[in-house]
Amino acid sequence: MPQRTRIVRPVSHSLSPPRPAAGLAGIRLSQRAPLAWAIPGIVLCLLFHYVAVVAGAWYAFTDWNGLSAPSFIGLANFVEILGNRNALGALVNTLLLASVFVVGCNVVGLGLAIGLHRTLRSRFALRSLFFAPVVMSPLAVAYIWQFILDARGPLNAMLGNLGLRSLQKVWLGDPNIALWSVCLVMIWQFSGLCMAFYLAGLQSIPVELDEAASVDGATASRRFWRITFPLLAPAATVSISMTTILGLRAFDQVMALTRGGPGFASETLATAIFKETFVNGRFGYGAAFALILTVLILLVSAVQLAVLRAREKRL
Amino acid sequence: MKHQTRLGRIASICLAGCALSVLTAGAALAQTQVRLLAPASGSGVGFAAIAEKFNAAQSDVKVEIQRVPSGESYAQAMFTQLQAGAGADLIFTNAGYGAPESMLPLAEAGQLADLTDRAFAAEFPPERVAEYWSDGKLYGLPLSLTNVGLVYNVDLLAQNGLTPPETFEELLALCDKAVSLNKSAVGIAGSSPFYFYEAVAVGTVFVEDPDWSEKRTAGETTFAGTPGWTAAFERVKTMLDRQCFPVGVQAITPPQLFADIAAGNVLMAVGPTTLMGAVVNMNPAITLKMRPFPNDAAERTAAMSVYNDALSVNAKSANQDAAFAFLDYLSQPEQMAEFVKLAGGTAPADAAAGAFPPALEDMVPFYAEGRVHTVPHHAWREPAVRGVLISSGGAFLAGSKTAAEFVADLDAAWK
Repeated sequence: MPQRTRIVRPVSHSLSPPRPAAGLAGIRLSQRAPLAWAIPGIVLCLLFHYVAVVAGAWYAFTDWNGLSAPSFIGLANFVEILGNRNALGALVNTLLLASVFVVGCNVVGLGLAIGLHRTLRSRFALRSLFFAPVVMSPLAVAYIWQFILDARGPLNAMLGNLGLRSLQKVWLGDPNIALWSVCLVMIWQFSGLCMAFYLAGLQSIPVELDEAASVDGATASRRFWRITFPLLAPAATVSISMTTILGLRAFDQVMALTRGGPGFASETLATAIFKETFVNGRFGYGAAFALILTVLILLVSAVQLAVLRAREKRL
Repeated sequence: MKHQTRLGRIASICLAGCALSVLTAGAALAQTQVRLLAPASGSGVGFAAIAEKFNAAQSDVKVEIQRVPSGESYAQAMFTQLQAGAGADLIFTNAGYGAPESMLPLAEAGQLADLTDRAFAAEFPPERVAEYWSDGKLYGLPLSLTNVGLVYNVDLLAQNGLTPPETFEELLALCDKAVSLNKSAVGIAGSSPFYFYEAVAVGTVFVEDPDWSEKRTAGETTFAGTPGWTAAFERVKTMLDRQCFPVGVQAITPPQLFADIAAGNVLMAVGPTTLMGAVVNMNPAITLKMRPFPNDAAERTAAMSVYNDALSVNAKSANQDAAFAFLDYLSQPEQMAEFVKLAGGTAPADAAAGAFPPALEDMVPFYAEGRVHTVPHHAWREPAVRGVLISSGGAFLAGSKTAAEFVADLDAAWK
């Protein structure tokens, strides 16, 4: 009987490893069947996720205004972006915002996770409390913070009442501060997400390891850096990757808090895409920005994942 | 026998039910559904009320309003629908060029139907609404006249023994007075200050040269080459130095501005007539009036307005006749008057007759003397130029751009 029509046998309990298949034709039916079942799903995924993205990318090489027929203009949009100080500023802002967001979010999240891992009796309630902002709409969060950070808002009022007038700022209107005010709001909202990743990581670390080190006289700090921190590597990989993507594509918070301003002080690639496309009606130019952002996220995520996975193996 | 009678009754009821369903379905089939895309606030409220009346008055056409958030979200919805070939039959548009939802770029791309043959077209010739015509064709029904100027809190000024400024120097004097009162003289939506810059530039640029926009389009002049634009930005700088604005003005959004005016934190504000409606909704006890933004001399001050809000018909609509029917209905004076009562602005018939509401009575002399200019950006083909008035305008308010850089940015955006 030919191999492709071989009857599928029950799973063998033999300890010997399965024989490696020689090409697709050599794959046994038991191995091929799941692949065949996945094909419709893969096709739909490609159709609805990736074909649309690739088709959209084509507009990056056109002068499309959203209404008339697009004309192919080669790399002109990309050349214009590279020669535009504001566009490059948006790229730099995106990278800066994402970097500080990733570090801030993970440091705060890790701190919260360690604090709420054991010992505290109210830890379950506190975990919910710190995680709550994650499930809130970024727009709603941004509008609340817009009120808090208003030049005549509660934050400046509180600073004034505490005699700290020198610290009062125009948090959303000062070109030197606006981007970091947005970053602060993002860290406030998403540190609970990092906390959840790190809590999951902490709970997978056997308590015995910590206890044994403690019996051996290791200090709390030494136990953390030598045992806990290395074993949190898988959680860190997930948390850092997720926050990097969130940071690079920041949009809602920026639009609601500063609209990328004042001027271009807090403009990110995502807000630049929106403005060029829907405010200035330059759909082709906006698509070029979008393509840059997509490639940037892909590259950063791939490099980051490779580095973090290598670190996991090393540890 | 009794059983048969009961069966007969049931059969009769079923037959009657079926007949009713068929009749209802027939009526529904005969009725044409028309979709109108409009912003959620302002005009959207007006359209909803008129559509309700229209739907009740006849049974051939049913107008459904699809309301989406105003501003960029509206433009996004409109573009997406048009690109997908699923555009609404009736589309809310803005006059001329300069904004994403502007009518003339849509018309020139073949997206809007020609309305030149409609009866109302005679009321809106190119001499009256040039921003609605392209290649001798009319592309929208003007809904209301929007004035842009200096809105002042009548009672707040009177309580402090102050009068609205007639010259720029008087405005600066009011700024000093406001600081002593622990208030701000002038509120603006600094996060989107294009109307403010245009209001200032009317005095420094357009009073001198009413055809400046046409000359800029023809490449005969530039922003940097026109001293009036730099003068306008220098006036704004002077206002910043004299603390005319609230702290952090560059970050103030329109809703924050409305709240500031409603709470009496600012004596005056610069914005469109729709701003007045929004503030009165927040504080019905407030009395607001509008006058033009003052120039260096009272006799050189001019008003600024445009028939901004419009309704157009999708050129690719399968229900154009039904859409025209609604447009004709809306164009009647009675409906227009009701529309502006809800949506804000001045009805075209009232504007033509100079019959402005009490809040705009200070504007009447300017109309009588013909000292009125159209809002400049409606003549600017490139929306990015208005975008620069917003972005570089915000940076200028924040002190991170100079007037020279600002005018250079405006010229760079003009492709």
